[in-house]
This record gives sequence, C-alpha cells and structure tokens, in this order.
Amino acid sequence: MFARAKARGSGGLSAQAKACGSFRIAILLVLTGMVLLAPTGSVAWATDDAVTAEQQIGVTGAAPPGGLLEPILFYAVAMTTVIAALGVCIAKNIVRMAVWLFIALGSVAMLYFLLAADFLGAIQLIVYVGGTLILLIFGVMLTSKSPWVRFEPPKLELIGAAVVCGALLVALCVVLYSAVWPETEGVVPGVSVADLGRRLLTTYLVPFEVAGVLLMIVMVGAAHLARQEK
Amino acid sequence: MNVEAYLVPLAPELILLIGACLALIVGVIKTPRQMQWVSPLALVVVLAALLATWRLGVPDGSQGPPGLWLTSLTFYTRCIALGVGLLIVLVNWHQPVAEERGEYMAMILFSLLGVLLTASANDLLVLFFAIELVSVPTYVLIALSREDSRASEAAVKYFFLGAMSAAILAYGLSFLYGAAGTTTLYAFDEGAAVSKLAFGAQMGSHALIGLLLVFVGLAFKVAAVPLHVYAADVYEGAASPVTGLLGFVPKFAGFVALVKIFGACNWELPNTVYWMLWVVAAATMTAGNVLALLQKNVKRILAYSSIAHTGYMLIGLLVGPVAGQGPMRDGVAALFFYVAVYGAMNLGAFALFAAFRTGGRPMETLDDLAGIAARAPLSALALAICVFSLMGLPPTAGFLGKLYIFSSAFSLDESHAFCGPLIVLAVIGVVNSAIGAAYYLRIVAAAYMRGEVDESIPTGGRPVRWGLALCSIPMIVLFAWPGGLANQARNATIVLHDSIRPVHARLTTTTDATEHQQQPAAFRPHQAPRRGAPGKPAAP
Repeated sequence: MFARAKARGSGGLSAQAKACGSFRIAILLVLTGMVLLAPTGSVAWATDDAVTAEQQIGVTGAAPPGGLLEPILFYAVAMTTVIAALGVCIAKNIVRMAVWLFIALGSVAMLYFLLAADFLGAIQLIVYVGGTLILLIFGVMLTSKSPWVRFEPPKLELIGAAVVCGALLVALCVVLYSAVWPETEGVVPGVSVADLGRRLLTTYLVPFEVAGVLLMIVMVGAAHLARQEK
Repeated sequence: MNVEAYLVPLAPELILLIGACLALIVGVIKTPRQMQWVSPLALVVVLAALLATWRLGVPDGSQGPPGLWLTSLTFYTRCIALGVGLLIVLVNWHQPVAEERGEYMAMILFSLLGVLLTASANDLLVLFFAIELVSVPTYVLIALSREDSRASEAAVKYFFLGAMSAAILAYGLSFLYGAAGTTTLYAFDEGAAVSKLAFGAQMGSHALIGLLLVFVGLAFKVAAVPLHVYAADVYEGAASPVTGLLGFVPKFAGFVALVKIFGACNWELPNTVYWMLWVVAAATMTAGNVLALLQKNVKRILAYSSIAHTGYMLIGLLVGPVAGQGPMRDGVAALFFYVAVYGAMNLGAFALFAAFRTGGRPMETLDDLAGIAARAPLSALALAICVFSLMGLPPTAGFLGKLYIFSSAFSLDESHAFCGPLIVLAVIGVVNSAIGAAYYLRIVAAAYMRGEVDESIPTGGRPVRWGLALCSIPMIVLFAWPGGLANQARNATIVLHDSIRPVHARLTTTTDATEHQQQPAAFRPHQAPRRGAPGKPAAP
C-alpha cells in the first residue's frame, strides 16, 4: 500500500523509472531462475529419454541432485507464480501488469521443467515469454497514447469481483484438498519430440488441425479489425 | 490407417472448410465483379455440404478419425446447422459493404463448421476448439456487420466476455481431464474416458467442479442467467442479420456441447447441481421475459426473448432422456426440436429488420415498425408468423416446441428424484410463456395496428425476402407435419438412450430406432403426459 501511494505522489517520471527498474529486476529474476532450474529440473527426473536429450545438448556430466531440492524448488517457483499472478491483478499500470505477467509465465515454464516436461517448458518460454509477451509490451508502447495510463475500476465492481473470486478460491481449495486424483506408479517416461510429432499427426490430428483453422480465423479477424480505421 | 476412411465421413465439414477458404481468397481479390459472387458461393457451399450430409446418411459411429465420434447426433446437427445456415446466408446476402463480403461469408461458414465439429467431438480438446471455432468468427462478424461505433463496442464487449467464458470452459475441461486422466469423452472399448468416471452421489469433487465450470462456460454461449448480461447490448450493436445468427449458432453449439457433457455423466448429477441448474433455468426464463417487457427497441426485446428461450430449453436439458423416447417424453429430443425451430423463427424476425430501412437507418424500434403491414403485407405476415411462433401460439411450430419441452417434464416417472421440482419448473415455463405473449403482441400490434410514421424503404433485395419467407413458411408446415423433424430429433438422442440403458453396452450406436423400443425397467415411460400437459398432446 505504502509503495503504491508513494508512486502515485511522485509523478510520471519516477513511475517510469520505477517500472523500468522492476522490469530489469524481473528479467534478472527470470534469467537466474532459468539458469538455475533448466538443467537441474530436467536432471531431477532424468529418464531414458531425458538423458538422450541431454546427451545431445552436452550436459550429461551434471550430477542428479534429487532429494530435498525438488520440493523446495517446486514450492519456490509455485509461490513466484502465484505472487506474480496476483501482481497482474493488483497492479494498476498496464506496463507493470505486463512485467508481472512476464514473471508469471516464466515461472510456469520453470514448473514445466520441474515436471520434466522439457518440450512444453521450452515452448512456453519461446511462445509466451519470448514471443507473445514481448509483442504485447511493444503493442502497448506503440499504440497507446500514454503507455503509463492507470487502470482503476470502480470500488463497487472491485468488491463484487473480490466476493465472486473469493468464493471460487474457497471452492477450489476445498476441491484440491478433498479430491482423489488418479496417480501413476513411479515416474512417467519423458516424451520425445519425435513422439509428440507423431501423436499430433495421428491421435491428436483433429484437434491439431482445428486449432490451425482457429488460429487462421483469429489472424484474419485481427488483421481485419486492425485495418478498419476509417 | 486409410486417408479415405478419415476424409469421406467428414465430407460436409471439409466442404465448409474449403468453401470458407475460397471465400477468403475471393475476398483478397476485391474487384467488385468478383465480390458479387461471394454470397452465391457461400450458398452453394452450404448446399453442397447439405447434399454431402444427405448422401452420407446417418453415420454408424464406427468411422472417422480419432477424436471424433460420428453418430446420429452428428447427422441431426449437420442437417439443422446447415439448413438454418442456408437461411442465414440468404438473410446476410447484402449485409456488409462489398469489399468485406469475402471475409464476412467466410466467417459465417467457419462458425457453422464449429457447430458441426461440436456435435462430433469425442475429445475434450476437440470440444473446446470447436466451441471456440463457433465463437471467434462471431466476434469478427459483429465488428464487420456495420460501420458503426456501436458495432465495434458490441464486438469488443462480446470478445472480452467470450474470452473469459472460454477460459472458464477450458479450466473446467482441465478438471475433467485431471479426474479422468484422459481427454476422451466416450470410450469405444476398455480405454479410459470421462464417461467412465463415477457420477451421481459418488462423484469426485474434482469432476464435480469441472462439470460446474464447464456449465458456466457454456452458459455464456447459450446466454443463461447470470451470464446473460451481454446479450442485449451485443444484439443491439450488431446488424440485424448477424443478430439472427447470434441467436442460433452459439446457442445450438452450446446446447449440443452441454448434452454431450451431461450424456457423459449419464444425467446422474448430484442433487446440489440439480438444484443449481433448476434455479438457473427458472431465473433465465423469468429474467428474460420480465426484462423484455421493459424494452422499446425490438432488437433488445428479441435479445431478452432469446434469453427466455434459453430458459425453456434448459428445462429439456434438465429432464434429460430418462423418461423415454420421442420428443413428448425425451427432454433432449424436445430441446433439439425446439432449438431448430427457434433458429428459424428468430432469424425470420430479424430478417424483416434486415429487409427494410426507415428514416435513413436500419429499422430498430417499435415505432419504426409502424405501418409496415400496409407497405409490405407479405413481409409483415412473415414477421407475424415468426413472432407468433416465438410466442408459442397454436398454428405454428413454436407451439409444438414448447409443448414437447413442457410435456417431457410432465412425463417424468415419479421415482425420478426430481420429478416434483421439474414439474414446478415446467409450470413456471408455462406462466412465463403467458408473460412473454405481452411483448410479442406489442411487436405484431406495432406492425399491424399503427399508421405509417416514416417511410420504410425495402433494401434487402430478393435473397433476404426469400430468407424471410423460408423462415416463416416452415413454421406453419412443421405444425401440420412435425413428424420428420421430430423423428430426427428422437434419433439424435439414440446414443444417449444407449448410455442410460444398463443392459446394453454403452456405445452400441445404430441408425435403426426400432431396435430400441424396450425401455429399461428403471425408467418406465408413461404413454401419455400426465397431469394436464398444456394443450392437446400432438403425438409425432
């Protein structure tokens, strides 16, 4: 609360500088996280496939840490995700929201690495962290007349949203504690990229193609709406 | 794995896809001479897809690629979506400015493709993508439909809320996936599937919350309370022909998806869920009708009427297929019959507003309608038929639709846990139909009783008037001969009857309805609706 009030009082310039500062911190955080986690995460669940993947990129020498480190890393990354997601909701400056989103998406990628879903983690980093979000930030900066515009919904709406979201949170927590999830014995073998590709063209051919059509429609629609400045 | 075995059963979908891409390509060329071929192209594509559907007949469930399951439900959905799609193309014939017609028609075709895929989806991923394939083109259509800031506002509003509902739907589906460990909806053999989860009182809390979130996500698509708030603004902002599409396409896809999900649960819902859906249905009917009474703009009136109709359809969904076969007893068959009729009659009402302009702008309010009967008697008659059908007055198919829905609730067996509350719900529906008559009569009265204030000019051209005629004439014809559509609606639910029959294997599909005459002992049907169903029972 205090930090926000201060930022509001100190005017546009320092807010800008502050946002840049948190941006740098965010990038540093994500980069260090990636450096720390990307190798350890995949080795922690090293399976035959993962090992072959690592032999290809040449990090076979790393010793598997295992043990206590996994849960600690998991909870740390999960907490980062939650805090960053909260930050997206609470931040009032659109660029700060983007920064928080950057951290949230980056830590989701780390969660994937921790779960030994290497390919998914890499895709998450490339597509969301690397592509979509950078595009989003550029889009905001290039199109908006004042990129530091503040977004403040009315109090009544905030209270209503808080009540609904709180109820949902309670319901979800109850479910997570009471539900019995199906579990697989032992470690699920990692999936190679070749296997993924094969499945996309056989078992999951229809969703794959429909997703392609959907993306084409989104592109056509977006291009059309963006062009329509008459 | 045979390419032919994959592609041939999907001929209608592929024709729509290729046709939509062709329309997009023609849209890039942009010379006026090519542009006038876009609407006929779309018409031909839909006709070709209908022809392919007819040639393929009712799929037996054994064909098609993994992820899809082609059944009698697919056949019914194809027929209805493409049939009403034909009318949608006719009504939208001249709607957008010439340069944008290619994209516009392509979006209509893509949206129809989404409906077709929803009905065949047997995988949660396909279901999600298909629902999005229905929705995303409608966002674009609203923005393209007219060059007006209100249309852009409506499109943006619909897009943001739609994205939110898509997120909720995806979240719910992910819970179902987590509970079942697979994305398959119905399994053909011993494999895992969502339909093999324990439902009813033994339902796991993760599956339960997944089911609830999926319902919330889809409730947005069908415009059920409390996710109806967008409807009036969006319907008002979009051009009338698009509004006619919005009333049918997302609603139909949403209900088909709901039937598929509820079918996977065997209609064995915990009591709390039943009560929640009961409240949603009652609130949807009542809110729709009461709010419609307060409106002056006809598009807003029809928007709230659309919400009220969602409420009636939810009765059918809640009753489910447990009471027996045929639309008089099977709530889902009644729902399918009603949604098909609703698509045409709702589109017909909007088609009139597409066909005329008054005072230099499209017709919108009750005052604009004044005197239309004297100027264009046939169009006014078509409007009157459609509005009477929406009201549910006897010589129209809308009456039969309501009759089927309500009688399905009345024919529930007394051993059914929710027999009493569902009958109360049907009574609420009957009362609501009476309330609804008030605002429908205002539309007809404005057209027939009042003198002309401002000159209305026909603008829609011949195809739009054809569309209007083809929406209204079937309303009378279907009242006289409802058998064809009612039988198809009954056949569409055969799969569900298979799944609720404990004797049979879960997934024996068949095109032959006569094999399924015996009912399971647990769900004894009543031969006729009990306790005075509204009106005379017209057995199909």
